[in-house]
Amino acid sequence: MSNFIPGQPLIAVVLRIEIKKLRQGDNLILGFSIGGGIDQDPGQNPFSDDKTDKGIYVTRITPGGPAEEADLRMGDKIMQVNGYDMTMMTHDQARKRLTKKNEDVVRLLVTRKSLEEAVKHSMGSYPRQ
Amino acid sequence: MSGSPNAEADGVVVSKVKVKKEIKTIVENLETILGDLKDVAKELKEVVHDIDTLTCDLQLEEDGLTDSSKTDTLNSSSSSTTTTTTASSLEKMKLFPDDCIFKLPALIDPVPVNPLAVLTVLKKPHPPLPPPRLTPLRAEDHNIKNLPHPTLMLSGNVSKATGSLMRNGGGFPLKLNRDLFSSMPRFISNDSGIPESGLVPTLPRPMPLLRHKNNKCPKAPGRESRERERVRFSEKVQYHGYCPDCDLQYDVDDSELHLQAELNDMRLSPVHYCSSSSPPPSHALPHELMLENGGLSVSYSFPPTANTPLPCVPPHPPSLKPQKTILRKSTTTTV
Repeated sequence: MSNFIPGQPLIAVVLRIEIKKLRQGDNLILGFSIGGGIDQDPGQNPFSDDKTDKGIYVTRITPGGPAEEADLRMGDKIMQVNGYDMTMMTHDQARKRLTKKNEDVVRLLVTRKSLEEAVKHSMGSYPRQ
Repeated sequence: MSGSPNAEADGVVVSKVKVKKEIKTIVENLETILGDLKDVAKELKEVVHDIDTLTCDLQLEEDGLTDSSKTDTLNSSSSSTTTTTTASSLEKMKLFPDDCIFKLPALIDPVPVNPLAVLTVLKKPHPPLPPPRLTPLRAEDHNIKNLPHPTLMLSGNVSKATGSLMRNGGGFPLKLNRDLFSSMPRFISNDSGIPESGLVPTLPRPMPLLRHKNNKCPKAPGRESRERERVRFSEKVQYHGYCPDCDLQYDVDDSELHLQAELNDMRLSPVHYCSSSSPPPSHALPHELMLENGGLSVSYSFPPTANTPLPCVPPHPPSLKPQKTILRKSTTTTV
């Protein structure tokens, strides 16, 4: 999404999304699927601009699930979960971050392309500060 | 008075003769050294070959290497690198390379019995890769004794700065650039008939290349192309987060410290190598795919393709862990 230069701070326009986990029997679900991770093949990610981006992306939203209600969208890149960085995680680590049993709510920071575009357009010709 | 010019002339002549003798000795020594260098070069080749055979049986198992094609690519490229390095270092050895400079003490000066030899070694622009330290140093020392080749006399206090294989011979202190020491193949010699002429440039033994000659690897040397891969972490170890066995021990409630520990454990444990002979059916029963929090996991790549059987999912009890693919697939997990 945003240009990633290793060693440089990452700047991205993010959206805060709070998802309340839904209890289904014994399970707490969030209602979306994730893909990506530093141990995954980034070339297969259809949502990323940068095909070397190994971040965690939302690949599917369960219709009617908590994620959809919270306006999480397919293609969103998850930057943080409950304050923990997700940009350099293995797939499994990311999954575990999201599925902590003692947490009812996950607060995500996500970034999506359309957000960046919107901000860029609104900034117009002003140079980035 | 009349005798003194003659005496002087005699003195000059005598010293000239002396110098010439010295030079002759030196030249002879140099020739000997050259011959020894050639021997050493041959020896090096043998040793490198031995290394490959010895370490080929230390390779990690290849079972379940799904990206073996990638590995093979790496092999071929790294093998060429290896060969190049060896060849170049051999060449360099033969030619008294530019980056190995001997500074001999001045020839003209009268040579004392135990002169100082100064060896200045410069770093190679492309030092060879460090060898894997698979054998203890003791073994290396032992190996020195085994090697029968006559080599050059080592001088001086070139000590175990690098924990290496050098022998301290006679009393020629060498001034070496210690931190560059390991980057160059060195030649050490034992005794071997080099007279005490102090102008012998001494070269330490090629340090990195001596290994056991005793433990020959029974396997075919087809693995020598993997020589350079030895020092790397096995690619497939990285992805063991997906081995359900690993996940079994993981408790979701633990803090993230546990994550790291687990990853480390997984890296270190060879048990988890994909040795499962029977790939699990891709139409695995749903209960096997349940996550801890009950989410259903689906393993497919970003654009869903046909389900490929997973290489390493040994049959295991009611695991809540999803079936995950290993090694550079893309996995999607539902949470």
